[in-house]
Amino acid sequence: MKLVSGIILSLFTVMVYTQDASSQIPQRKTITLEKGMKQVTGQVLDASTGEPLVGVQILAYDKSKYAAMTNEEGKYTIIVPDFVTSLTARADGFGLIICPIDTKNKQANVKLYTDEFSPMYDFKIKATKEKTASINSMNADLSVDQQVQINLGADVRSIVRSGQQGIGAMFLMNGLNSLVSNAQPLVVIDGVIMDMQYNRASIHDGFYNNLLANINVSDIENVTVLKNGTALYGAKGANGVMLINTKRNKSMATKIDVDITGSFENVPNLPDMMDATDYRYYASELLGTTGTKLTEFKFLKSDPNYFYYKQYHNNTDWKKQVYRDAFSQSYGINVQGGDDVASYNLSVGYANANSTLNNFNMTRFNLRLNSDINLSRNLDVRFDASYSDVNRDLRDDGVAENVAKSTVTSVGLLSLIKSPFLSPYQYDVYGNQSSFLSDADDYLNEVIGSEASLANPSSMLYYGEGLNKNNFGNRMINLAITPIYKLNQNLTLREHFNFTLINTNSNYYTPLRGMPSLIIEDVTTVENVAKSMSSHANTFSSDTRLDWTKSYNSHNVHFTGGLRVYNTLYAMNMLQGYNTGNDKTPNINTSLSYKSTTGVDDKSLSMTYYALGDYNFSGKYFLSGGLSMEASSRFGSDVDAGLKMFGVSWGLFPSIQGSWVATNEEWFKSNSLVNFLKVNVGYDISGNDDLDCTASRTYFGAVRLLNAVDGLVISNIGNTKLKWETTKRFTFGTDMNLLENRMNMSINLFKSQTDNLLSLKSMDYVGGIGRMWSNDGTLANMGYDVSVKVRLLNLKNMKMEVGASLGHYENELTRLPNNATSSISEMYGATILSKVGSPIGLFYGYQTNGVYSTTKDARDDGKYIVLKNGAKKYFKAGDINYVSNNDQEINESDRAVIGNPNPDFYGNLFANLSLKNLKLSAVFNYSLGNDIFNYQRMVLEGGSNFYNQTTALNNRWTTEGQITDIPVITYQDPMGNSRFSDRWIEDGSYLRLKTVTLSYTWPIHNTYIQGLTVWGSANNLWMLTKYLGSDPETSISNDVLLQGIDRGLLPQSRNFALGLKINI
Amino acid sequence: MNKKLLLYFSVGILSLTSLTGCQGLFNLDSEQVLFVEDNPLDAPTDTVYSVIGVLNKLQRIADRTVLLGEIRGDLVSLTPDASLQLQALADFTAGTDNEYNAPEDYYAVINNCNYFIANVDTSLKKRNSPVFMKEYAAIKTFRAWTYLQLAQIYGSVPFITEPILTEKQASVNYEKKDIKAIAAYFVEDLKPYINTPFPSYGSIGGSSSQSFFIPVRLLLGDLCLWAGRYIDAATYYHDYLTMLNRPMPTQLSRTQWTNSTNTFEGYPSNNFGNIFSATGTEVLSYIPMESTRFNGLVSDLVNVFNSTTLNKNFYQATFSNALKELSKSQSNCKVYENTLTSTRDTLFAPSENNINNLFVGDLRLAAVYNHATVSNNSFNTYSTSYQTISKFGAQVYTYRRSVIYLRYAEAMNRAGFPKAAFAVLKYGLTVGNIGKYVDSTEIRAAGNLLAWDNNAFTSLNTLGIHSKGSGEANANKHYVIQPQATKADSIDFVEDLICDEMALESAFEGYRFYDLMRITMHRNDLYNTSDNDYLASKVAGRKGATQFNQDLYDDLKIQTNWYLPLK
Repeated sequence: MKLVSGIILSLFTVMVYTQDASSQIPQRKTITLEKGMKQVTGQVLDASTGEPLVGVQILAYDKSKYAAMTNEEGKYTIIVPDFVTSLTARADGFGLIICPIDTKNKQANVKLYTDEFSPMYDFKIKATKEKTASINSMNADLSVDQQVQINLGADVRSIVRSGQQGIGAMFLMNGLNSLVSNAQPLVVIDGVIMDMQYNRASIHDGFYNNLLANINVSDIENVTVLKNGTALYGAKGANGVMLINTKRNKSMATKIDVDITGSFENVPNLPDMMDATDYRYYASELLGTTGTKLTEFKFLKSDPNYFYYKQYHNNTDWKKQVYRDAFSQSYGINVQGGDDVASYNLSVGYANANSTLNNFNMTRFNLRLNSDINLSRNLDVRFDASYSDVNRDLRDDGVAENVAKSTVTSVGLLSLIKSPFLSPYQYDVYGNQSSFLSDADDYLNEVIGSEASLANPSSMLYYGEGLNKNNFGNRMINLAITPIYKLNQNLTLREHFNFTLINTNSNYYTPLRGMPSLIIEDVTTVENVAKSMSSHANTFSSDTRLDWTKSYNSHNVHFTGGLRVYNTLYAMNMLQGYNTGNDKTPNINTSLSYKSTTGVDDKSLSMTYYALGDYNFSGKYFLSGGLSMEASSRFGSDVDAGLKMFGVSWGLFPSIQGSWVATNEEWFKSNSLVNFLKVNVGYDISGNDDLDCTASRTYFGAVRLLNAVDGLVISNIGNTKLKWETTKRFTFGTDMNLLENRMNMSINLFKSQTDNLLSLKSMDYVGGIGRMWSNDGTLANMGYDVSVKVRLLNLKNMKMEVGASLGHYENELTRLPNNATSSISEMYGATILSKVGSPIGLFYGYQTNGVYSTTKDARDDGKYIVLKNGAKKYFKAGDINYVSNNDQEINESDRAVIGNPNPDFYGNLFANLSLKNLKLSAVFNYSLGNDIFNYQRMVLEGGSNFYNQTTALNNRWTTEGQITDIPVITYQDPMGNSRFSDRWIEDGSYLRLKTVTLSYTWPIHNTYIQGLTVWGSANNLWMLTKYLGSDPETSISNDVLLQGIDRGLLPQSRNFALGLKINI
Repeated sequence: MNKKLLLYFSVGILSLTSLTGCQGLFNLDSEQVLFVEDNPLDAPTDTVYSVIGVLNKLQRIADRTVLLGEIRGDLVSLTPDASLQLQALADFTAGTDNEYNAPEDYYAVINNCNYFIANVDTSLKKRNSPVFMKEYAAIKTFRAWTYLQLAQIYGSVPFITEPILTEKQASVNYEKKDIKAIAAYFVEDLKPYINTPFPSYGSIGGSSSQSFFIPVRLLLGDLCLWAGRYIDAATYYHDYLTMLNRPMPTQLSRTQWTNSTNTFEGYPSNNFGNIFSATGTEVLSYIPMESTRFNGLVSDLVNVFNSTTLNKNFYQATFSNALKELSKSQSNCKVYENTLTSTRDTLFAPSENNINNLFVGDLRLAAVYNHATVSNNSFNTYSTSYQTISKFGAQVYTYRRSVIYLRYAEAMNRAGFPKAAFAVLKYGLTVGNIGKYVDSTEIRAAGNLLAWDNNAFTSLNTLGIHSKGSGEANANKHYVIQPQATKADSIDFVEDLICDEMALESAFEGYRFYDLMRITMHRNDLYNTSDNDYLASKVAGRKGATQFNQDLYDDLKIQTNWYLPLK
């Protein structure tokens, strides 16, 4: 910490000393004031001890040429122009404070708090509203997402996707601003818009390529979220903007930081499955419902001398075969330094992270150089380069979307559903267990056929291991060069050119050994599958910008204008084939059967002219106005909005923001209650350009006839009117520092409407296409976020700060395309409703009213379903009693809204305690009122097939008169007892102790070591939730319609990290 | 790439000041798709891609061509396992959301054809022969055939001959044309190509690609028949069947009681059930379907009509009582020759049979239909009732020989040649039979229409269509044109026989509903259909004489109810 302060001070000193002599205001002499000047005096005290602080820098706000320093008594005198309304006080080891000048007494007394507290003031006050989180590097995170969740809990709703290493989080800002397009905020890294490859396919089910995991967290300086004023980002800013800045050199002296981190993660909390005895009962009962005429089954024979007895009489906890406690480690070195010509920040890192699910490991190497070069008096050049290489061992994770019709390949799921009476290892003819892994099970073959066979997860892991079998590699190269030319004192021209290359390749393989046949739906069964995918994405961007700054006494003007050209390419090729013949040749080759290839070639180009003006008067009134104008290859050629110019359509995105610092008003009397009060209001129109790259154009696609010849057919009829989605957002907010700056409160309200929602609309049949992309429909969002922090204890050696944040949004679909009133989609076993007048993405299913206990109950109720051919089938005792709206037939019209995945509130709570060199911090995060569809539980408690079930099924209905809420088990569930209903909807609210960190900094200062910090942290230590699944925080997709579905991805689990930071 | 960016950048900067257009800049290319402006159809290599593309689009409407024509007719009954979608078709209650009601699939064929027709460079020549002419003709034929399907299904449909390439063009309210206007347009449109050969692509995926194309004359015959241009229709059919280089006699494949005994015991011979093969000579053209779903669209007809593993033996449609009764009511005649006495006798089959209740009357239904009760294996999800109708294969047939003869007969009859038409059913057209059984006034008036080459059409390869299933029709004294008061009545009488023959010959093949529609139209002074009893009573009587569906009858008396609703 001291080091950072040192850097700030030294920077500051440089600034002050480079000012011309006239700014060196004598501090003690009484001088004759020039016209329009005033003399302000005051005293600066240490807030904890009340002692005066010497050497505190006092500056006129935004006019740093008027400066002074406090003397031994902490007093200062500064002469500033009359229009100056506030002063900035800063000192080494203390947080910056902006203090209004008491007009009457021409006084400004300040109490400073040490920088052990989190900052309350920024150096500049803005008309816009944003929030910046500094990234604490005392963590073992592989991606910055977790830090965003910890530090910006209510500003960004973040849902960590799973417990897989570096898998990242789904982010949502300002509600849900799109229905089918991307709703994730724009990520801008070091000023460059990133194509985050949201919604790009992966060949491993349940995996998501999180590009943020390519950046070492300790390379990140801070993350800022913009709550308004996003016009600069034109048609890309509607979902909010997240700016990530990496570290640059701040020190003239060479500084070397070494980071060593190790972490240990426990096996996650997993569902409680039946043991062998219970499962055997379950399976034999279910057999009775298959209609089998067989009377004897190998696995049900209880004679210990029976040949197959041992094979079917184990009690295997399959979870132990695939989950484990995992150890991870990471190393990093960061070198900063340079001189007045060139300075640099170079970092190198390596991480090897093991996952609690076997063979889901990740390694990363990363290298980053950020340099600042001063070529001449007026020309500076920034040159940044980075490289990262992420490699993963991967398998499918989670319950597949169409689990009933596919072969289970997720080892995590297999470890839950695999019959516990089987063994991972084979038995020999003498009944001894061997060391050979068992093949896929076949105990149901004689009844159901091989389609019921499940793989041996241990065998899948073992034989599926290999670089050419299951792996994922991702390399990211980034080069940026930014010449900045100072044309004159006020005018700067800069060009930021950036090139990013992201290459991905992955292999997928299901081994022959230990796996049953794979089903290709409606086609055939095959032995195994091999897939190979490679993609490359490159982005060129150029941002040419002119900056002009000028101050006229109390008027301060800053103007930025420029042109941004942004060109992206994403190309992907995937090859796939079946039946490799053996496990030694997993590569794609011509001898495979059912070979296929798929590809993507998405190119896009956008061009944005932008202009942004900032104005502030006297540090009291701030105004910011921006306008950008964007044309894109994704837009249609005949858009009926925006501007038609140069033969193309341009979207116009204006924004205006104003803020008022009430505490700087002359009439505002200094008091100890309100130290700072800013009110801001703003209005933005921004866009979302996440359109299919070719949807606005008519094209032919290739088809194949008789697997022999290729043909061309019209595959799309372009909607030449296709345009961006438009979000109009009104924001209102306030920032307050109260009680002698001991309390900070920030409130932000927003209300927005998104028009021209992208949707698939049916084209008139004469087009012969069916559906096309079009802009129709609107949705609205309103909400707020509040954060409060309080400096609770401010003793000399002990400081304590607590805080909380709370976010809330309400989303409403106000209009659907074609004037429809609702739209329904079926995904991952769920029926998802988007209905006009309601939030999007509601769970829409059947309501249940328990289980019929007796035949009489069922008969009296007389409910039935109608089969495909029109015949009625009645519910019986043991079946679910579904709620019906008006008749006895249970059909789709009986469905109702049974859940809402949107939370009522979310955010976090934190506490920081520092005791001299010891620091303790704890962060809780929470989400309240969100519903989860527990898809995994639907599979684990469906009672319709031979998957092992949770122990809840021991309470299933078996006998007449039994009162239970678990229905009878029936093979293939003809009555739909396990259909999508409120049985599977749960309250997903939780409060989690996300992280606790304890660190100790040794006060060492010698020639070799400048500092030494040891830290330890524990994550996910404790959670309060009623949710029955493993982890209520899970996200299977960035699609807003797929929120709140738990498909049983690897849960986050408790982990402990220990780290050492050495400053050399 | 760098150069490109530099270009973008400089153009961007330039456009700030010079206001030059940058539309082209935003038209990026793609490796995955071919933008319409990049497909000018002006190179020889473009020929095949478009045709294959159209064939691919035809696959999507193939099954529907059969299902919509058959399920709504009188020859098929649905089983209790039929889907609600099929039930709605059979009941004439299918709405715009019925899965079989998707006009966009037909317009997909039409739009692809229209694009080719509008853009292809027909003047392009290679070695002095036009490069695109064969494809041009083939695609024009596909387009006309698809419009004919549309008109049959929907009555009157938007008529578009220019490609739709923008959403705006798709939302235009196009003028609608009915079947007569469509026929009139395409007869003129196709006429110039009657002698244009099919594209020669050889074998594709193991099938002869020649069969993928629709013979222009046959389609012209159909169009004229629908338009009431009977002479023209008969001429096109005749010319197609009698082409010198490729005459098409009926051939002798039939199912009959053996002539060597004087009883009707045992099993009839069956050479009829095996002619439904894409590789045989009976099938003239078909829509090629994929052999596995992995490669694309596979015909699902077999899963509707037959027991398969995919439907777990639960077939959804079977023959109707009406068809069974019609078959049974035919008199099956056998000419028995006693080898000892050298005497010949005509014997008539009894109306009952102990081996198979379908072995009565006409035998064609029994020849293609097979039913068995199979044992259920250990799991009970399969039906024990197992049905096979041997008319369905991997491909979906569009034309076959005997059907052409029947349409020729239909045209001849309506053109005023009932005796000639009847000869098609009873004797088979050879020079000898024509001279013997068709009266001289008809022969004279018919002129070339009754010209059947003496060498190509002989008793060795020609058979009356009725003889294919009803024994020796030529010797059957009951199978005659009953004396009628007027010639018009004779024509109606023969038309009834033709209509029945169509049922016996081509049940399940997807022609039935349209045959009934056409004959009803013929009888009603074509399109002023005042009396739709013909179609309505047949369809309403599909469950047999005793289960007449009066509601359906009333419904079908109104012609607009014959058609599926357009969206």
